[in-house]
Parts: sequence; structure tokens; C-alpha cells
Amino acid sequence: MYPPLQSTTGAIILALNVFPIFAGQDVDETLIAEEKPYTFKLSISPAGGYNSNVILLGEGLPLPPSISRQDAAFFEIGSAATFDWKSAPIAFAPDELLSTDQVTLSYEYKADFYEGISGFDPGVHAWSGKYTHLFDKQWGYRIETKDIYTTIDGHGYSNKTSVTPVITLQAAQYAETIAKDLSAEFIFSFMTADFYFPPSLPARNMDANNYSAECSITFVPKKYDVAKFKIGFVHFRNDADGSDYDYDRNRLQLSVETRFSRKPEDRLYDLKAIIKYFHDFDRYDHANSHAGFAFSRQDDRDDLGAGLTFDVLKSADRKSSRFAVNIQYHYLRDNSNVPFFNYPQHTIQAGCTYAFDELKWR
Amino acid sequence: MNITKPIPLKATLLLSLLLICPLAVAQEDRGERIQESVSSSDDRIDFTKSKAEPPKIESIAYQDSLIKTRDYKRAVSELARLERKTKKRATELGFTKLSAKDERALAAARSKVDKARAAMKEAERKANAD
Repeated sequence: MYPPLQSTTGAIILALNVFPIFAGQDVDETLIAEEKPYTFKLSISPAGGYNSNVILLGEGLPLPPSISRQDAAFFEIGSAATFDWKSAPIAFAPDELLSTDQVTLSYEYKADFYEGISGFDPGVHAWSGKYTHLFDKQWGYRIETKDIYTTIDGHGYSNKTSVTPVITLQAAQYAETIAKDLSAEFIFSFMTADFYFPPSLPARNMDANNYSAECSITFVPKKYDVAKFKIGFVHFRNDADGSDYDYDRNRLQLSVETRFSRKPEDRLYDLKAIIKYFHDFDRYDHANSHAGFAFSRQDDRDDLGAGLTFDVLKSADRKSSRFAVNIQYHYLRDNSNVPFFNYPQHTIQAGCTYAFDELKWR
Repeated sequence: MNITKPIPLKATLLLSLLLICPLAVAQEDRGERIQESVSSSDDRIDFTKSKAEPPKIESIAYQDSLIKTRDYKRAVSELARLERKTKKRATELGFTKLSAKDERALAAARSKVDKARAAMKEAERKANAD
């Protein structure tokens, strides 16, 4: 008799390994004996930039005590390590192959160091595990768990743990004349957040559980398959320990990505542009402490990001980026009826990314 | 005679509120500012993450690369089969060179392999760039 954890793990491994073999019994196994690589990728990105409002000071408000400025230059270091496993592809129809299972484990770290402002340097550690299973060419699901631990000036600040089940639907076959990819995702997220800095008032305690439901649609045009359009809607509910942070959020989000050539051998193919925008409609339940408990907070938030990345060097097999230069601009505007939260922020940064992609084995 | 008039309840509450409000507004909360700052940083475009991401199995580009890889392997297999067949035939007939017909067939098979390989490489790059 095996212990529960061992037997469960064994069953999962057995299912992952055996299922593709049974499903692919009718086809020529030698022809579709696909590479089954376990891959490990690592990327490191140093960057420098300028942030117009590091402390997110409300418009027209005086600087808080002990802070001499609101804007600052900054240095950022980011790194990510990803382990990935995919099951061997199987044939669903004579001309259709599908890899049905994928497991991705990753660790990311990002730290910002602001020049001339102390007490606001964040360090973010993020661990995540993701399992994807495709039932067929259309339907699939994904489960992602994530833990994000944040430090400020090296001191523990917060920890957020989330579980995110996702249902995926591929519908390109219904729009073959115009779409290379037409997919939808239905995302449900459950998260708990703990903050370690003591709040100045009980009402400002940000410890919370939150829940969100999201629907997004991704479209890749058939005639220009290096462009991607995505639109989504999210409803988010935050139940906090402090009354200031009980709120509902409705988010509309859009993103566009494109490369500048359809042919991977062209140099312009290595140039990629990304534009992301979202608008949040936040409605808070209770009168806010920053308004003297006179009225509840209502925020409308605009967030725009635009970035360019150019792959200067490619990996040995020319499949992925080895060394890239990046530049991005980020604009955030929170229109709040509470002056403390009514602020703009502009951030511009430039840097590079070095990626290692050589660790593959069967 | 000293007469004191009781202060109405509403006025008392208002007075208390006015006394509390300035304190509450003035009280700085660094934790809240940091939270807003960290959230804003999280929402920036993350090139580090995207460069380390493996292709997703649900993406059309990745599925396309599997098909193209399968096609390439089929073309290589077909070329190998043809090479074995033509060499065997030439050996059986005692020829030192392949016949013109066999040479043409082999050239066509090699061309097919080259095309399939180029298509596979293009699909792989698109899958990784997705």
C-alpha cells in the first residue's frame, strides 16, 4: 500500500505517459515519434528607467514626511527560469497532430532600485506551476497555481497565493477564411493575500481573499499571422479584513502584438511591438478612511503599456531569442474621488534580455 | 443660576467627526502606497518572462509546428526508402550509376525534403515566437 501522495503522483505520471500511447495506436508511430523534450529556459534582464511618481502621490498633495521627491531614476533586474514538459504528439486525424499534456514550472524574480527614494524598492519572487490538458483540437483546460512573495528594501511585505483554473476553446475552424487562431479562455481565479506591514488604521488592513472571473478572446488573422489581438473582460471581487478594501472591479482589457515581417528569416521579423491597455471601474463598499469615512471610494483607472523588443542574436538552432534589446513606456492614471488615490504615473525604461535555451533532453 | 443646555446628539457626532477626520486624512500609510506602487510595477510589460516562456501546446502555431515536423520526417523517410530501392535496383542490374529516371526521382524527393525542412524551421520559429 503506497502512501496517498506517492500513489497519486504515480497515477498522474502513469496517466501522462500512457494516455498518448493508447491514443496514438492506430497511426504510424515511427513517423510521429516526435521529439519529447524537457526544456529549461533561463532569461536575465537588466534595465534602467525613469518613474515620474514612484510613491504614487495624489495630485496636489504634499510629499509625505521623510520623502524628498516623488520621481526617480531606477535600475531593474529581472530573471526567469522555466522548466517545461510536453507529452509526445498523437494523431487525432490523418493530418492532425496534438500534444495533449504540458507541465510548466517557473520561478521569476524582479527587483527595482530607485535612486534617491528609500523604502520603496520592491523585490518580487514568483513561483508558479501550470498543467495543461487538451481533450481535442477544440477544448482543453489549464490549472495554474502561483505564489508571489514581495519584499520592500529586503523586508517581507506581502505574500499572495492563487489557484487559477482555465477552460480553453479553439474556434479557428469556424472562421478559417479569416482567422489563423481564434480562441477563447474562461478564467476563474482564487487568491489570498497577506500583508506584513501593520496598517495605520484597522480599516486599511489589506489582507484579503479575492475571486475573479475572466473571459478573453484572441484573434490571429490568417493573412498576417504574426499579429495577435486580444480582448477581455474581468470581474474581480476583493473581500478584505479592512473596510477600505472591500470592492468590486470590472476590467476591460485590450492588447495587440505584432512582428514586422511574416517571414522568420527577415530581420524585421525579430522586431516585435506590444501595446496593452486596460480600464478598471472600481466601486468600493464602505466609506473610506482617507475621506474621513465621509464617502466611499470610486476609481476609474487607465493603464497603457507600449513596448518594443528586437532579437539581436538568436539561439544556435535559430528558434528563439538569445539576446534582445527592449524599450517600453507605461502610463497609469487613477481617477479617484479620494485625493490620496488620484494620481498619474509615467514610466519609461530600456534594457536587454539574455536568454539561455540550450538545455533540452529527452 | 447656571443653566446648561444639553448639546444635541447630531451636533456631538458632527463635532466628533470633524475632530477625527483631519487625523485620519493626515495619517500616512506607507503600506498602501507601496501596494499601489507594486501593482503598477506588476502591470508593466514583462519581457523577461516572455523570453523564457516555452511554446504553449494549445497555440495554433505550436500545433502547426508538430504537423510540419511530421511532414519533414515523412519526407526524410520517403527519401531514405527511395535511396535504398534505387541502389538495390542498380546493384541487381550491375550498374555503377543510377538510371536517369531514378536520379530524377531522387532529386524530386530531396527537393521535397528541403521544402519540408524549411517549412518545419519556419513553423518552429513561429511557435517559439508566439
